[in-house]
Amino acid sequence: MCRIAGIFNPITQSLRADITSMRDAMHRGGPDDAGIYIDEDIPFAVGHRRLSILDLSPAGHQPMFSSDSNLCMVFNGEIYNFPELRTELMKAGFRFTSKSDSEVLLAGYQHWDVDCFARLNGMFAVAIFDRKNKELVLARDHAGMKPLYYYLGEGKLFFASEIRAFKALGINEENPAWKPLFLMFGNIPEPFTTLKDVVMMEKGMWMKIQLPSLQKTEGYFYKDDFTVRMTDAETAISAARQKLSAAVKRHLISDAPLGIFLSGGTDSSLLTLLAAPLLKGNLQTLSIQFEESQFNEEKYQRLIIEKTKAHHHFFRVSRDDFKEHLPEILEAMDMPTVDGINTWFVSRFAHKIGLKAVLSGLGADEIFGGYPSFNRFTALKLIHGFPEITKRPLKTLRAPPYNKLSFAHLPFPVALYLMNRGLFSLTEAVELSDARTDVVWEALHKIKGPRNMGSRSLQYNAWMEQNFYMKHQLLRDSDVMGMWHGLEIRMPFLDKELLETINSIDPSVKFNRCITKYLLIEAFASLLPSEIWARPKQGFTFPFENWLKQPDIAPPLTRKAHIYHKFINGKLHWSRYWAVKMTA
Amino acid sequence: MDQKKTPTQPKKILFYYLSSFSNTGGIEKFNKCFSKALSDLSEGAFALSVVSAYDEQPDEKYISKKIFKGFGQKRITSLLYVIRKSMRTDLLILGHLNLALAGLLVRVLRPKTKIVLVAHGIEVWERQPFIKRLFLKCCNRILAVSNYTKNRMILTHGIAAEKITVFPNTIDPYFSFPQVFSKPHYLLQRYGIRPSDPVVFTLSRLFSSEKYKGYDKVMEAIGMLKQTMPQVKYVLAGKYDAAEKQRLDEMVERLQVKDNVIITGFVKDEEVTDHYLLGDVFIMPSKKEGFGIVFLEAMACGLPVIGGNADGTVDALKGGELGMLVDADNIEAIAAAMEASLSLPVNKAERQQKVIDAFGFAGYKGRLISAINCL
Repeated sequence: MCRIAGIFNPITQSLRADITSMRDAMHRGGPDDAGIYIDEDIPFAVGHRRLSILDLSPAGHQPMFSSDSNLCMVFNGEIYNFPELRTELMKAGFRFTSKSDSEVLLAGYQHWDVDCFARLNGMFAVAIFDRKNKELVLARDHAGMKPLYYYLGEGKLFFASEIRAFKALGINEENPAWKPLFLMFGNIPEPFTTLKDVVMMEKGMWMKIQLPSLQKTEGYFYKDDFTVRMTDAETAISAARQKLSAAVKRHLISDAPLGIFLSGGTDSSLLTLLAAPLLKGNLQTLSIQFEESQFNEEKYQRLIIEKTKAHHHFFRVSRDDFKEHLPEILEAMDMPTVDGINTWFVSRFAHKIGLKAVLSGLGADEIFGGYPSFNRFTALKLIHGFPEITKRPLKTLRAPPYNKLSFAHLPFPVALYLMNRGLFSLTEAVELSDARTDVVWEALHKIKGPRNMGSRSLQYNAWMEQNFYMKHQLLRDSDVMGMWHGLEIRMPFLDKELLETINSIDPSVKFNRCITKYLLIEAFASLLPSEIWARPKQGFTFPFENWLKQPDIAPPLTRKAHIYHKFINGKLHWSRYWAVKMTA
Repeated sequence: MDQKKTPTQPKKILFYYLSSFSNTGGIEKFNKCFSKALSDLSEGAFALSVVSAYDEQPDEKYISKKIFKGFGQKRITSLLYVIRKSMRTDLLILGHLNLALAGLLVRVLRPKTKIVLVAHGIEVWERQPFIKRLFLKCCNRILAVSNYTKNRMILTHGIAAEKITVFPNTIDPYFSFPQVFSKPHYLLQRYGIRPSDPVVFTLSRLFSSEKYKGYDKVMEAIGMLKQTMPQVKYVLAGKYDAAEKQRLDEMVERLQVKDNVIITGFVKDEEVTDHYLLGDVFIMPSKKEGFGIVFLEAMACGLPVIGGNADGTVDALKGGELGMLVDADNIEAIAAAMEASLSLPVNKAERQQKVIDAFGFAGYKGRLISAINCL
């Protein structure tokens, strides 16, 4: 779990300084070690900052070289099934000198070439350079858990784990579409970033680039497959139980102290209950609390702590903490977001108590259907299917939540998603950001929707939740916020085997209008206390709104005064206000 | 003036159940313990009547004849009796969902009477006919024997979680808790087991209609285990029907475990404890257990236990604290759990004490009185 960067730039005079500044711009994500490899002849360089979790010894140093010294690798992430791959590779004649997953990954590439990526179950962004063939391969995991941004053009190539690394090189030109996109989505959807020529690599993809020609070949080692293959309820329940139990076990592999974010909700409670017998008295959990008691979930956390005998740490976040740390939080964000502040605090506390990795319940809502969007989907789909002329009046709707219906007339796959989850309508977003409509249209065109998928089924909504909200918002936020504190956040619900299985289950077996995450509850009905899952739904658990209204914390917006007044008077949700503030 | 209202404690309680003395099984055992606990608690606190639809005579150890009325299969007569009696009762406790009609009629005829249902397991998990659904909606409280039963009831019937109290089972106060844990010689001889043989034990009904107890999976796992532990013995005890016996015999043949598997048939009450003592580990990877009293009995005899991870067993084993939980469909996992259990040293007296602390009769009575008083 680390940070990586790379440069191919024939015209630079300062390759070593460049790669060092890219690498060290991301120093928060790799506090334990750092390394560089430079080939002046090409000229090519890679950099790495390390956060050690598996094999804490210097044997895990990167850039790492294959036994024949031909391959040079920088790797960010964690391969959970590396022990199995290691055994397989040993049978094929490979010898290993460390206990790290990195060495296994490198040997795997040496042995299977790009076919090795399909064998990995983990979260990763990796770059491997073949010195003999002058060929670079980049790859990003199946769910998009680890980021890999790149700039490819004008005969140059840069890649890195964070946007700030590009800025450190003076790559600063803004993407004119980012603000309106951000105002509509609440995040910046892939492939876009705040920078004009820097894009995010697609998940489940590898890319081979020849140097110095920059000729590119690419392929997918993982494609989302929502084809229904499991229709029997009992089989599905038992499969969910087995796959999640196995996933939790896999995600506990670590040589450094590991804990669990325990919010008291279904997902994190379940992870804690499943991990407890495996960690045998070594279980550490943590949660944050607020002075405002209405946001307090302590009762539910205590129930699980008592059951599992976990060693739990409560941390309190006060108004003053928020005020003190807000500037740092904004810096940690790397790119604007309307979320992630909870994660910033809880990661900070995890780091404080010496944890290097934590499990998070992230992903359960998207794969098991935990959001109201699943109940709204059918109706929204119906409206989206209306003839064009009847949808025209919807464009004028401005009051939330109906303003989202204005997206119904957009001919893009993302329209349905925005109808469900959009913040501001297209018109509002363009107005608020002073952008050009054609720029936004062009950008919306480039956002990929699901392929070969009937849009009538709830599977379509699951695809959108996993590929838009989860990937662009939650995964990116938890990556940057965790790494800011040198903390790896692991997500057992996004385990490759589990994800493949659950996505292949018939939606009528998987989802239930009355009970959210129905299949998950069914599968673990023997384990989950009903107090945890059968309770009134709670909203966002952060007393954010009140704090943001206090001028000493967040100075009033002067340029968009009307937005500020609406917010102060309770007529605008804090997330919308926050989005405007971030683009102002 | 502000006066704090104390909850009115019921003065007259009526417990109506199907059977406890004329049959054997988990629900019958529950009814016996429940009657005994109510009867102990009633002294000086409330008037108790106990009515059974099937039993004729009570076992006076558990319930005195004076407050017992048995109808020996005459269900309609018992129903009419209960309704009449409920007109002067504060709290009616129904021991089984099959008595829903009585509950409904009492609810209509005397709305003041509080009605509590005891929910055991499989009988309340599935969708129910109209009368039972209606009763589930209008009873005052449900006592579910496990968190699993509670969860299943919320999922299947949409009952509010607050209405269901988890009320776990207990060990019969008259269960003969062994003081010495040596293997009974007469049983070793009867079954031809050497004292050094590791013995895996299961006690269960072996009925062809019930395919969830998991002893067939254990038998397959024994087939695997005997490769590394050839002297392992599997004692499978309990009443069987002909079809199931035939199926099991065929399995023994197919798996070539004739020398390892002993199917004992019905075990007399007085030999039950000795049979537990014969074992080194008790296993029942069941998939549809409401709770599994049998695990408590096995633990009371000092045995390590292995159960299924997907039903009420999880409560009986306190989420893995008191025993091992395995995926009941995974034969390798079952074999691995048996091997692990058989190779670990066991302090039997300590195990016995642990289960008494967790599920002993004294604690049970405490939970019962607080459940009654917070209605």
